Amino acid sequence: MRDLMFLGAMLFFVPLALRNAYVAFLLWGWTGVLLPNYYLFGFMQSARFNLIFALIAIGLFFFGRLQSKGEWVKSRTSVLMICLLIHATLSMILAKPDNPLNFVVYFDFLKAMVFCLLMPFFLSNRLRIHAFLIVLAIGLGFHGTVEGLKVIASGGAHHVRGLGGMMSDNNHWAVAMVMSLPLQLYLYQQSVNRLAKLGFFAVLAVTIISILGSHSRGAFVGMSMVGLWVIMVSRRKFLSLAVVLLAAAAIYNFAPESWFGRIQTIESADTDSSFLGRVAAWKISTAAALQNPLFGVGFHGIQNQLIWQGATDMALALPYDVGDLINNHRAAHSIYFEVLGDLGILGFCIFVALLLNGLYTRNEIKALARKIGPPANWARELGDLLAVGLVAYMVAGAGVSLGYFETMYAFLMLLELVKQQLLSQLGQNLRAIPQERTVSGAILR
Amino acid sequence: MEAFLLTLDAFLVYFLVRLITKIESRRDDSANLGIFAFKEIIQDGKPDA
Repeated sequence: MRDLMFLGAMLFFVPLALRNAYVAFLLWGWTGVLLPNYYLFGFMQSARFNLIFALIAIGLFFFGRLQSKGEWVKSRTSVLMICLLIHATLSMILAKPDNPLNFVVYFDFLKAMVFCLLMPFFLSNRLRIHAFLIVLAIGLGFHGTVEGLKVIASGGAHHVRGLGGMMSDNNHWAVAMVMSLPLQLYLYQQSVNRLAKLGFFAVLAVTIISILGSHSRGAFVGMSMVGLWVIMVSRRKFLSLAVVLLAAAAIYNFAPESWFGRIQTIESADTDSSFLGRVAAWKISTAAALQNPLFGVGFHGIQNQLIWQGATDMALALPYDVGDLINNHRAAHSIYFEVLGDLGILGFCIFVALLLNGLYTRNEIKALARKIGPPANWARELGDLLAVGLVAYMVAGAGVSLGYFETMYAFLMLLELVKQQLLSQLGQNLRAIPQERTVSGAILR
Repeated sequence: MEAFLLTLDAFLVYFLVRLITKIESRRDDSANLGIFAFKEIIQDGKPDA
């Protein structure tokens, strides 16, 4: 039934996408975060929704059919992204052999980068940026709502397992949901319509419940960071503090025992085999990067037993003994060590520079918004909340292999685009001042 | 429940992209997003809604 529904939806979506390149881009983004194939079980399961809209958007763009096309501005973000993409391409080419994941993961990363590098052309004004945020929130919010309602309906017994693609297990899934929280909050704050406000707030609340249902410790830490950061950056600190405390009290009273048991294992990390396994993967990733400092071992190389074994001797020389766990290959389990092992020390430096650049861009947005005044309040709030999402990723991502997560790169580019919007507005204001003065005669002699 | 929410999700996106198609075909730079409209700031610094 849902296959038929989605087929019907596609019959409406595809003509709209063919008429308007920006709509095709939005649908590309929506299908990228919704991952509809994992919810379809019939004849539509193998349909390449994402690819269809990507091809339409790119085709219309190259045939000059994109209206109100944004201009390409050489910025730190775009330069760093291009550097990372070039470096990743070289790492993929020079990777250790016999790693079937190398090209698969690289290709996903390439698609994410193409999407993000095209964003400046498609998201050329505030309305388009806002619509893009809504599409992301609706797509990501769907997962949070579905799983959150299951957690509520089961009285907390439902354990969220993840979906597929970049959200393939409970930890990956939960980090993606933590990153969606600031989006829902921004749209709640900025929406005029009461129904829309209520909708975004409801999705926010249910998504928080779904994150608890994932039993992910990293996501719990990330979510706590979101709460703290929101209090810090909010203009209504007492209200934010009250809401965060209310949410914490609700969690304390209603979360099931099994959840507390899982979270309390953070205290005994040094004896927890799950944590020690991660330390083993981090040591191997570090050793792999030391052996191949420029280009690493290729995408998800250490998940190959032969590549893992090749780095074992050097890893044993590194501090912190993890016993026999050093012999069994596994995923890197950290965005930092994942990129370090895959792309080498050079790739890691570009990756970290990109993340830090996102936080710096948020500061620039704040300074520009202060100069412009109240008309730029939206940009300051968006900059703050995108930075919250970024910080949540940087914290929660320390324990999961999500280094090539598309939404994070989209957040970074959105920060840059918000800054460009403010620079353009500031330029208009500065150009308007001499004209106004000339008209009023204030500066005429 | 999943099927219902998936349908609702697709409907919301359809509603939004239809709205955008209309706005862009009129090339109205001052248009807002209907039910998804965002706060705009008027000259005295207060939101207009």
